[in-house]
Amino acid sequence: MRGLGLRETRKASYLLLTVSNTLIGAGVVSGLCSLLGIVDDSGDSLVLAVACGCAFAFGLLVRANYVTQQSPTTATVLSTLTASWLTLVAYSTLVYMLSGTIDRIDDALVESAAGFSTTALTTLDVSELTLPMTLWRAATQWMGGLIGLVAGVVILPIALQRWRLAPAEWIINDEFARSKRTRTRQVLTIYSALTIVFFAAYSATQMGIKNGLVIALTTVSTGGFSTAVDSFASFGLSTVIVATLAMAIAGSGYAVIFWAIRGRVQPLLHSVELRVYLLILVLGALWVWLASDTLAWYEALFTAVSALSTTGFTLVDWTTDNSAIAALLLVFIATGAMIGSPAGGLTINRARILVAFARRELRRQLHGSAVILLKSGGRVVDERALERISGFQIAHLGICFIAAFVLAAAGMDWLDALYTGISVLSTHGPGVGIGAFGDLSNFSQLIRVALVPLMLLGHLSLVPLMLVIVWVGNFNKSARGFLRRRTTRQSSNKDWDLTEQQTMEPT
Amino acid sequence: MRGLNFARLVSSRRSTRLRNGPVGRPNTALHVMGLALVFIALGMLVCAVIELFSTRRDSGALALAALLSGGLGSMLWWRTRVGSTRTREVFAAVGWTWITIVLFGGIPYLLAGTFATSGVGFVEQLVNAVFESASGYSTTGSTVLVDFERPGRGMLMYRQLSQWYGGMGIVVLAVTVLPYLGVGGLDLVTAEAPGPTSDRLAPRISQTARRLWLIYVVFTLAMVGMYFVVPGPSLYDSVAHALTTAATGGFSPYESSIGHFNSAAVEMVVIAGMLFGGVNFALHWRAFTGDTRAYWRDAEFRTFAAIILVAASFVIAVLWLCDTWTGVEALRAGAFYVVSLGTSTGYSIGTGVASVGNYVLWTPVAQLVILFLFVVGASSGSTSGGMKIIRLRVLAGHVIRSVRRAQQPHAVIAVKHGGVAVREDIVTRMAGFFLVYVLLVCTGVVILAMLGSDLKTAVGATVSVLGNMGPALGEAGPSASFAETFSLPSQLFLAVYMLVGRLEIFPMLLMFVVPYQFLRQKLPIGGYA
Repeated sequence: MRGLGLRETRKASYLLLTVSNTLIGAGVVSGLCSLLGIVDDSGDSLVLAVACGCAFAFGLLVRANYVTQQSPTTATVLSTLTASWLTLVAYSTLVYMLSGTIDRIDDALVESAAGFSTTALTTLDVSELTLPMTLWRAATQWMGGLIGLVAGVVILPIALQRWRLAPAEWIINDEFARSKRTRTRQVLTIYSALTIVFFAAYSATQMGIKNGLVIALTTVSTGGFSTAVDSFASFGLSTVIVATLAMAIAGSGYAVIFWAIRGRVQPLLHSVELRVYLLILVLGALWVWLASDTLAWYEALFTAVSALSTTGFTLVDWTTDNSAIAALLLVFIATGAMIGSPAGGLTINRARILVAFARRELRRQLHGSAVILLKSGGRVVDERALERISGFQIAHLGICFIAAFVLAAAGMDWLDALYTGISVLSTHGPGVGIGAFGDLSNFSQLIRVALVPLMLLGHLSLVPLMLVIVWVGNFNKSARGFLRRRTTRQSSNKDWDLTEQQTMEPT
Repeated sequence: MRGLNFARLVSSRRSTRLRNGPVGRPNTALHVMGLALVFIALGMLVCAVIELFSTRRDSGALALAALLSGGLGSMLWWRTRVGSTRTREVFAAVGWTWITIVLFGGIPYLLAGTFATSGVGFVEQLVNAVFESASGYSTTGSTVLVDFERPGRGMLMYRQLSQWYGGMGIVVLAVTVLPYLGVGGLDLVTAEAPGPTSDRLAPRISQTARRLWLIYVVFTLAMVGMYFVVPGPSLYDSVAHALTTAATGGFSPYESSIGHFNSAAVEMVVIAGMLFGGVNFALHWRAFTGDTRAYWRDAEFRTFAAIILVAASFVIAVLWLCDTWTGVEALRAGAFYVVSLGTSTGYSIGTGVASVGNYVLWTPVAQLVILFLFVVGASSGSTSGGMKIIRLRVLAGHVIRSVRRAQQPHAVIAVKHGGVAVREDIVTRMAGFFLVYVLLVCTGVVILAMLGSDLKTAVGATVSVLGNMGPALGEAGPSASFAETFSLPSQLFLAVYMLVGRLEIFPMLLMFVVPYQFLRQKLPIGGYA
């Protein structure tokens, strides 16, 4: 590139550089899938290799022409996050289309969005997939989980610190490195290490290396794609137990894993969020077990862990028979796992803060002028942060309702729409209406396409919504500026006319 | 009624001793409870007289219930006086009074054997009676009555009257008592329109309460006249429906509710009445005293009107275009149900198996609109339930401010209602209320599902009874009896939720503070002596 003489003319673009880096990352992953799957299907491997080449070419071209912006604006960071996600979805859609795995572009779009949003919904018959495409499908969830994690733990807390987007994250992230680069490396290391550990654990069961790799990729990201149509129903007990543990670990947040790796027992014991998470898991599993007449203890535990970690693996169909289980699991899905994990939903820490907030308001009914501070992890939660958390949560509920409305308008039953809306926005996927195995093939094209923006909103939290508000705000500002300038010009013209008239009159 | 008690309680501390005599022990809750019981006994007595001159079946039961309630109420009233009026005592008074009213209100049904159909035991009758009473006094309108021919006309009138009492009590509670305690949305109304507002209809709260009573009685009488003028309803029907229209309750002496008349004219009168009942009564007073523009100046009213208009247009269009009903059917059913459920009244029309009036048969998106109306409710300071539109507006402002503050962390941005900044503590309180509401919905759905309801019915019923709507969704639709849909524990649970919804959550949750403290003092529990 230096030889092309482009370096001197390079422009600064945070967005393009980040998107191209993301694309290069996706290219690397698709290249690996191509290599690993070449023994099974050379055609699909070739498509993946070509896609890898194109991604590299595009990425290098962008890198040759642009340099990164040192201090990107808030809107730029938000745009970049959204654009990266959309680019990856488009890239994967092309891969599915070119390989002939999926014929329709909307189905390919849904499958890609489900992958990168770590939602366990599918339009495919996975039993007919070739090895390269099975790996690629699982890899989309792995990349989606990583992006969600990097966005939640690195980009938003550091790059957008002045926003104080989710101050609760600070509390657990203090242990991480301050530097963006180091923190990213930490996250990537932990994520990769967990993937390898899960792969080894799964491979040690009867499921085989191929299945082990695919399931490990989708477990660590709390994604939920499986190699079988019936998800985990056909796997043995040892696999189920490994998966239960793996899902619980994946949903436990990277601060917890970080402490565990460092051998720091004290913070682990003092983590209120971890205790609440484990308590909910145990009580939830107990509830599911007691409420059902047919489930074994390990099936109940698996189902509860899958819902709370928003993974979406399914061992038994829990959506049809018992409404008590479906109701409890809906609460679990909406709550989600611990903060700093790839899981979706509200997260345990925010849920705790909101419950404490509600309790405080209850106490304030009795003591109107009392000053009652809320604490989380031993620290006082800032009132403004509290206000933002409650505001964002109310917005999230509003979006759930709008999502349900859209899905119902597309033809879903209202309860199914409500359940699906909440489940998809929490990046879980399966639920009442859609079914426990997340199979979208029976639903209309309209419903499938309507799910794509919900997956985006679910995975990137409220970032797209804020982006829209920032854009609208900026547009309003520029429109007001334009109108002001125009008014000023007109009034100056009028003044001029008036002056003319006034000067004319005496003559 | 309860509001009047509180008006007395609040406004006349100095004359308490004169009014109640020096012998009474200071106990606010018991004193208020006694007065409330006397009032409902009077209602029972009136209905006993009606029964005596009509069907003569249940007059004895009504008279005996009146005697019991009136006797105990008088005793409590005379033997106690208003004591402490601290917040916790007032919450206890509100909560325990409502529970007592509901329990005593169920006695007539129990004595008359209203629910004593074949195979129904005493416990079931007891639970049914409590449920019907709770549904009446909380103005919910859900019913476990299956055989509408069994009770006499006086008993059915008592059922209607219970809702009228409930509506009146809630209006006064919301507009006079809760602002005094710093609860509810009236502080917002004050902030919204400087100058004379609903809590300042008069300098004294007791006068405010009387004025609201006056509007309520005049409104009820006007409704009687309107019902009587249109062809169809008799004088009895007119009075019976006027009582529950004014209260936005939804009970009817007929199984098919308003569908019994099958008259567009009656439906139009009902719609007008429900809309009137769904508007802040303080605005009615201001219009009554000549300020007719008060309605349009009120931001909450404008939002209420917009929601009703948009929802009705949407539902009518969906029913007409997507479902199989004709334009006229869609218009009648769509407009009627949007107003009925948007004001938390709960009347129904033509609930046959394939009728347009059975809204559980509507296309799902129209049912979702109904669910939205269940949640939102109508204006604050009205007889309706739900979260109230004022809360919706403030919460929307809170969300927008949160996002804007994320962009400008140090900006001072006020949440505005009707152009006036809302106090921060009120915004926080409303956010807290919303979160408690969501928690209650989640808990309710899980418990109902655990008690045997399917998920759709559990969601619909929880949201419906918390908003005091009446009919719900799923198997508890407008054509269903709650006795057939829900088990006995579910019925009791729903009865509690009706009261929680009617008292806007906090009083019912905080009513246990005083008994708890009393027990803590008397028994060696806790860390204090």
